[in-house]
Amino acid sequence: MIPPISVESNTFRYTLDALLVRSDDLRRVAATVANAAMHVGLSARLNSAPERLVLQWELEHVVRDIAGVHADLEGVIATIEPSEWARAALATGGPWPAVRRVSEWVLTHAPWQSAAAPWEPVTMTRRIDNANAPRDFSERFARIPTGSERVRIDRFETASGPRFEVYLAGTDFAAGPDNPWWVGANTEMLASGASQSMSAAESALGYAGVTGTTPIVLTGHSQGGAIALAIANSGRYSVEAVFTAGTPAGLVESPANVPIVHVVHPEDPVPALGGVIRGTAGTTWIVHTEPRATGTEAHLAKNYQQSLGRVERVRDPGLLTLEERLRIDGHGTAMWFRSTLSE
Amino acid sequence: MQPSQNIRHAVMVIFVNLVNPTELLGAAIADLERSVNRPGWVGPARIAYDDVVTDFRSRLIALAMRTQSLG
Repeated sequence: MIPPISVESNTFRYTLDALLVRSDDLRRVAATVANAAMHVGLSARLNSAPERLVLQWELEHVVRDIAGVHADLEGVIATIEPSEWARAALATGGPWPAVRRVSEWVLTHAPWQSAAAPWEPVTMTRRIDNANAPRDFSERFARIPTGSERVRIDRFETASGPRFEVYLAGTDFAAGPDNPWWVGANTEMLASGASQSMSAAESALGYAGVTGTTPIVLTGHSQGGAIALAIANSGRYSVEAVFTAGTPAGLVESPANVPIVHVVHPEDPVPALGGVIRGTAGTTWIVHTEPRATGTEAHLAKNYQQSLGRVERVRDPGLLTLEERLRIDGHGTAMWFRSTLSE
Repeated sequence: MQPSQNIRHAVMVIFVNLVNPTELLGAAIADLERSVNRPGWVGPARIAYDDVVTDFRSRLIALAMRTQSLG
């Protein structure tokens, strides 16, 4: 089993980069030491010095050991899925500007643009008044709503005032343009940095009592994560942290001064669709699905929920510190929202 | 010693004198240090990698010192 691996966005965007650069280090070192061993061996023969032959043998032993670790590393690299390679390719920025331009064109010329009515303010579908506060990323992710409800907001009263936890669902693939969470919202996000789904989420924030100064923590799956990043980057809210899973984070700019944690499955093609992560903040956890899932199966929230459990079990000091800092004691009010465009 | 053997011996002497194995090992040790100090990757896999590479570095330092003492 390949353990979850975390990568700091500001240095290595993807595990692949981190592994490739180290694999190259070991290849270079093995070649240099082999060269040194060869020269020590030649010198031994020229000078009839047996102690140098022993030294050559020991150097060659080190070369074999380094080559063994290099081969192991290459073996891990070989398991990395094509989507991860695609992300690395996109990270070069090569094809991405062209994709963005196509998205802008689609957004401008799409037939639904003229037909689209203004979106309806969100509707609160239900609420409960004794919700526990989430303790970690995994518990936050488990609260992301499904079905027609796309936003859940928990409000907690603390000594320093109200604090909010916001959970944002991903793309509703069954929905059409009359639903802000439909697939086209991703194109909107890519082209303009905002979408109707983001507007609907902000409407829900306002409904729940979130202001520009109340602390909020945002958690999203897929498109929900992109909405979370866009909200954090807007500067209109006091965002304490953003957690995303399976999110094409490159769709929008990432805020520089907010802790961000991404979890992606390398088998999941959706995160790769966002291209390179824009901005320098954040940590990306690369987690292989167990048992192995591919394609859309690897994108499912239930599979990410399982992987988040594995990330939490790593007990990474950075993640634990963040979760501890965000911890809230007591109970609060949970609210669910849905939104569709008016007829 | 045959003339061809003399030439071969001379080439080997030149070749050996061109390269200092201690310097090569010094460069390899520096590469390993750089590899361990690379930022941006955390977690159990990174810790395991750093442990292995630090062990290689210690072994190479010991061998480089022996190489140097042999001249």
